[in-house]
Amino acid sequence: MKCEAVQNRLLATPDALHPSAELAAHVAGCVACLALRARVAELDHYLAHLPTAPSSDARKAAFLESVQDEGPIIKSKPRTLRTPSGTFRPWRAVRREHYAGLAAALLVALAGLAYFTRNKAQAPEIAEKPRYELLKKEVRHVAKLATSDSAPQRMTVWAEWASDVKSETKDLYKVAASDELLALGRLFERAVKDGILKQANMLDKHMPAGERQALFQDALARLTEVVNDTTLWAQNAPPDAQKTLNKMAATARAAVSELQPLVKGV
Amino acid sequence: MLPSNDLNRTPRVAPVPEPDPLRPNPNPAEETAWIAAAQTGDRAAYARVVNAYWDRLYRWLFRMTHDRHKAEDLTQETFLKALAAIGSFRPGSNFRAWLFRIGHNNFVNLKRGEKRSIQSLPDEPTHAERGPGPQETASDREALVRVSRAVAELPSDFRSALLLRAEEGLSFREIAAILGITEETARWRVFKARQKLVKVLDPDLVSPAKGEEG
Repeated sequence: MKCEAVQNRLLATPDALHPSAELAAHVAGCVACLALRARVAELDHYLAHLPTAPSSDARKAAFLESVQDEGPIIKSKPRTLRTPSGTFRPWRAVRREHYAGLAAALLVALAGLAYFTRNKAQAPEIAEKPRYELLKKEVRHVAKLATSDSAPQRMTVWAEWASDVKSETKDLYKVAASDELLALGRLFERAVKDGILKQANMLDKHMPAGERQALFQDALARLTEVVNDTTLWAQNAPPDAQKTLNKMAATARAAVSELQPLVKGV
Repeated sequence: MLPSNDLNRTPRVAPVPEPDPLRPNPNPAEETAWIAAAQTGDRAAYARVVNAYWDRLYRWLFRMTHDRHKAEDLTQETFLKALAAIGSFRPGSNFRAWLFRIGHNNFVNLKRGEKRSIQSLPDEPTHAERGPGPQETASDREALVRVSRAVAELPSDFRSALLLRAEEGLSFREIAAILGITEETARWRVFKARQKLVKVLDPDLVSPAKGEEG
């Protein structure tokens, strides 16, 4: 066998150190092929140890929590401690002279809480919470979509999702970075174009008029609300946010125009 | 031809990576049970699937995007799409290939979108999850960096195939299913990528001119 063929096979084999007997026989007596085999083995080692910028644990944890958030919820009933004489009521055990002390302690605790809330954690909470809430809503949306088996159901799910994205935009448009707002804008556009409009065009043309009208009225009301709200917010928004808000308004307006002729069906 | 001291050199490293506790393969029976439960709406079961595959999917997508945030976004998007479509997954078929196929489609969509916008600077890999141990020499580390850069510079079609093979240990058939190509093309891409990378490790090496496997 020629060196070229052997070396090609070494490169194609998953384990260069343990090639077939035929290859091994050639490699054992060939300087060039032996060297190549060593390099291929080295390469495999390096490929198995390539450095990676690690994924954020918080990101994964948030996603896992969002997924499970939608799972079957077994609500436990609130437990009441009972005494031999009946339900335990803690306030009965507190004597009148203790009320003043309790109230003072409560005020101190509230003041402390307010101090720490104002001085420590406010900014990161504002920045992180909306993203996390949006993720939860997105998981909920996806789950609903997965269980929707008809175009009217899916159209409703997409319309709700478009409203959710609009609500998140309201919370974020004054403070979020422009790329985050752009991402929200893209989510909204997708909800409208690939969601609401696509499903509206897939509706059965002979769907009962009443059902059809109710379905469209809901979607149209939500979209009209988006047009009105985003137009209003854009007036006082930072310049970057204005672009996204205006685009959302335009997308919603165009969708309203497209949906209106479809309300009556055939 | 190589200098004589390289001729009979024993490879310094083992060819097959040792089992990695960071990325254990899910037990097939357990995985089947999780997926079946997830298909009936059990979110805790789906969370287990996510937990089992998040890091490995992220790792692959990171190498494709060179950007941690994009890779995280794609990973999340992939699991969202998989959740939406979990009902359509055929029990008994290859879940990992199915999941990575969704991830690959997301990556392709991202690339299409990026062609229309300004490219951001890639993230430098800052942490080696399974990097060389303390016994490894400076020249090993330097070689690792060279290989890492060369992998990053491979055309993405070749890079994706190579990494699915080298890191995930997938068969050419599975790689073909994920990337939407024939098995032969998958084999060819992995071969060509390895050929190029071997050259990076040792530019003086006499390398084969043509592949036989394509």
